[in-house]
Amino acid sequence: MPSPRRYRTTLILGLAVSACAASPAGAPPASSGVGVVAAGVDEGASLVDRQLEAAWTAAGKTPAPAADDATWFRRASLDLLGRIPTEAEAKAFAADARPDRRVRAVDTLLASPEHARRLARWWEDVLLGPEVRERVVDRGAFRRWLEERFAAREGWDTIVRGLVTATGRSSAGGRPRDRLAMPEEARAAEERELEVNGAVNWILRWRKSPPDIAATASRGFLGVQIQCAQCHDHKTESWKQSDFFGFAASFAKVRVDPIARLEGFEVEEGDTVNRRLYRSELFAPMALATPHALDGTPLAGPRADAAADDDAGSRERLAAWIVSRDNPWTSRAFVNRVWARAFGMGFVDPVDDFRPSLTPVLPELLDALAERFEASGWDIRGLERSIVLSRAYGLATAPIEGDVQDARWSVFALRPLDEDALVDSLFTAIDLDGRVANLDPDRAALVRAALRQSIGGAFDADAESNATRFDGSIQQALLLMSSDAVTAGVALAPRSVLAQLLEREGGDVHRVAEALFWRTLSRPPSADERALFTSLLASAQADAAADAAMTADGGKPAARARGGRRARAEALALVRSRADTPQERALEDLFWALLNASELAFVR
Amino acid sequence: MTHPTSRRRFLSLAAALGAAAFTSPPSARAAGSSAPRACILLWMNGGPSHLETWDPKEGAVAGPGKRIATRVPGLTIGEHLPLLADRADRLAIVRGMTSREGSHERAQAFGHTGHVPNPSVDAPAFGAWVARERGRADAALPPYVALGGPTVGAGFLGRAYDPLVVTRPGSPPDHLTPRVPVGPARAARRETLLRAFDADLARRTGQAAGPARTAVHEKAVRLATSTDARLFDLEGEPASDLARYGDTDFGRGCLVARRLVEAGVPFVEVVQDGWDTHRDHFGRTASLCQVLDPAMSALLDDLRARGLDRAVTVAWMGEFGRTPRISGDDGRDHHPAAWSAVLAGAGIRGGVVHGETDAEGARVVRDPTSVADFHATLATAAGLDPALTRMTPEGRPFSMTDGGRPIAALLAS
Repeated sequence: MPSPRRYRTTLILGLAVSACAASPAGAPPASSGVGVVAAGVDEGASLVDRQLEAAWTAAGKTPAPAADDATWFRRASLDLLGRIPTEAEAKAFAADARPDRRVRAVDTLLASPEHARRLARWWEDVLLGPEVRERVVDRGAFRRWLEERFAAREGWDTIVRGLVTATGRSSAGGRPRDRLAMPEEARAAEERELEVNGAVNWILRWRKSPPDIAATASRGFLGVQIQCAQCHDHKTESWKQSDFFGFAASFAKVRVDPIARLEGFEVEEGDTVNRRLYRSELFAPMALATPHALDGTPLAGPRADAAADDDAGSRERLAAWIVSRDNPWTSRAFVNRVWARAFGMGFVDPVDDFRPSLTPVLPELLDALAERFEASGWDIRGLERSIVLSRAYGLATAPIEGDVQDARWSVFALRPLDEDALVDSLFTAIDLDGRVANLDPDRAALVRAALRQSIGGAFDADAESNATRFDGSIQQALLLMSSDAVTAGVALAPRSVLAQLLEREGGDVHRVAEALFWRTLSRPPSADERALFTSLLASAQADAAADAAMTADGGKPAARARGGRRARAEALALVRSRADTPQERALEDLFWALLNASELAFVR
Repeated sequence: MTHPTSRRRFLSLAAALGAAAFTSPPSARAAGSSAPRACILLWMNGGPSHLETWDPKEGAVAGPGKRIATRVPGLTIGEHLPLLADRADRLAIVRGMTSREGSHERAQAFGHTGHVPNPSVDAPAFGAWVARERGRADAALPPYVALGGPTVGAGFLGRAYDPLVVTRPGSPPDHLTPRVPVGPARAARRETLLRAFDADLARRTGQAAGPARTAVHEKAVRLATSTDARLFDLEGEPASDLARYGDTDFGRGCLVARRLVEAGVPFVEVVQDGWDTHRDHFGRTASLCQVLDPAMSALLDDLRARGLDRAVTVAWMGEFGRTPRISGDDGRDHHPAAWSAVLAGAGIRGGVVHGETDAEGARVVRDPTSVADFHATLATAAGLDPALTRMTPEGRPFSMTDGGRPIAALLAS
């Protein structure tokens, strides 16, 4: 780089410049996680380390250097909580010098209620698919059901059984708009009062095409795409159409009845096959087939084991088969999914593509982790802990040949934040709570929800396959550049993030700039970045007259703004900036650039 | 007043992090070249009744509906489409559409992609395929625009070919500019900062995903700063033009669609919502037709007047038809077994009817047309290869039209 560099390191006292941010990849990091983990604090992590290190040697891969603490902590927060750390969390971890700080941090993250919510949203997405406009399915109730199970540390086997055998009623309907404004607790209370079983929403989601219940069960729990055999015998595998319909037949007695108009639905296990299924030529084979599992185990009629309960419905028997120790898929599929979430690609990619002819990458490691997972009582957190504390999870992001699976995870691969994590990270950084504090609480909740919704939904991605590829649209980029949420978030206004930071830092714009880096990128600025901000200030000063004219003009609102009159006025009030000095405008510009920066949008 | 030295220092420091200075990029236009091939899909969301549009019947099944003669001798269509009746010689009417998908969600995906929904393959919308084949890397406007969407996306082809959804046709896309703009000098400084950050990340990580994201951001900037973006905005459009199309969402959408294909956008979808007429079927269908009739007619007229009818193929379709039986709520329900679709413009033979349903419009009795065959026909008319197979990212061969075969009777010779 030929250009002159200007370093400005004296302004911020007591904070070392992060070596990771300032030095090219490959340079030794300021602090390293190696040794912290190798001490054998997590047997699963040691298992992963041993097997991966052997694989690296065998494949001639040199592992990337270790990432620094700030980078590891941001990764773990994003993966386990689904958001970037707050400024306070990131700084607290940076200040922790105890040798076991990573272990302590991961245990804190795993114990957080946000972690249970993160898991719940994940499985909501896997089982219900992307959000579609409709009134019957209450995704919130489904998520709360999952969240309670995850928070109670139920084993994965118990949760799967609860889903596959779900019966009971769904929540009352109502206008989606009203429900949007209803606080979570109020909805949860209503569900308890009505004795709602949120799990039935999975059945309700696919009520119009029942084979899809079986298809999502197979993909979600077994990691097998048996639905390919729905239309024809599988082209490359031994699956037959009859295998699919035999598997789906376990769900053929499910009955879904409306309780009363807008009062929700009752999901039951009927005594006979749902007659509706016979009417459609698409579904009839499902009603006619005899229930059996993917390995041929019959799931109806008398059983070999005399003590067994012959009356158990076929969903009960299917659930028992799914989580039985003889079933080779369930634990592997789950381990593979968790691994892929952490590293971008699983041992099998896409994660739901286990099939007889495909050998996973590093099958011994997958088997060993699956074995441990079952032996631990299907303890989800134990598995996550091992992965997050493994050496591979703590490696730096460095150039990579092929994909991360080819590299045998000897490098950490950049991975775009999933939609939930992106939206939650954005809102962690821009924190609109203060901005809407002057509205009445119901209205504030609605505005917040609407702003979230305006961004959420646009970033929905297929989470099943290689998640390290970036695949984005212009529409998404525009949302981050110009949406009301981002415009309001960066604006200096009463109770805004910038107003709070300026007050806290006594008006020192350099300290505020530093805080903005922590707030968005979870690290301090590098020397180059500090210098860049200083020159930005000078440039803003030079352009002050022109910039001020734009602002004084009221920053003429864009022609024919969206929404009704009240919404428009409210939105305008929300996005309006009160910045009136070049320094303040420069801070807004820095905040905007940090929110749009790729570094924020990736797990790195 | 700007101060050249401080700006230079800012830019040089940005360059130190690896970024090129931000300047408004020029936007390319297919200026002077012959009219580019394009496709406009008029999507009738909810499932339009074939019985009140292109395949009217007599007797009890018709309810209060009447039919009218058209410019094509012997051809009659629904009474609320008089302007289109007068242009029937330019239309190819497919009366034998048939499928098995009777739920909106699945049938909408099917109609847009030509593939039965299947969770193991994320099939691309037809528009995304056109965008993939015809999009120009240097164009400011995106290659697939949906007016009045939402619609189906690009699936495995990748989000570069996703539709840009314009929720209010006639107005700019949402979020094209911030509600309160910051002015060009600050916008340029923001971009310069951002590029410095992104270039630095690319240097530090050495992985391709970072630059891939930056490239998409740059495309968004190019659109937002392009003069072509004004084509979305009908403010200032002559009132007479708006009146011909009808000053409705769908009418404005059709007018914008014309402007976009003129400017080189290869695929535009215009959505007319509300066809799911389970109640008050006849009243609502009449209103919908009164919106559709002038809009589609004006679009066909304008394309012809500009010589674009030899470059632009127009398709009209929804997810299924409606039941011959009139329900207790005075409605018609979903009917995938028999329905209609229409083609016009480039590559299409006008004034023909293909396929026939029984006296009730319940079943196809002659020349049934599958969704795959319809897609293959549309592809052929639009100059794409209907037999094209692409590989999915998982390495599976994927026939873009699911093995559909073009229907010669509908194609211009």
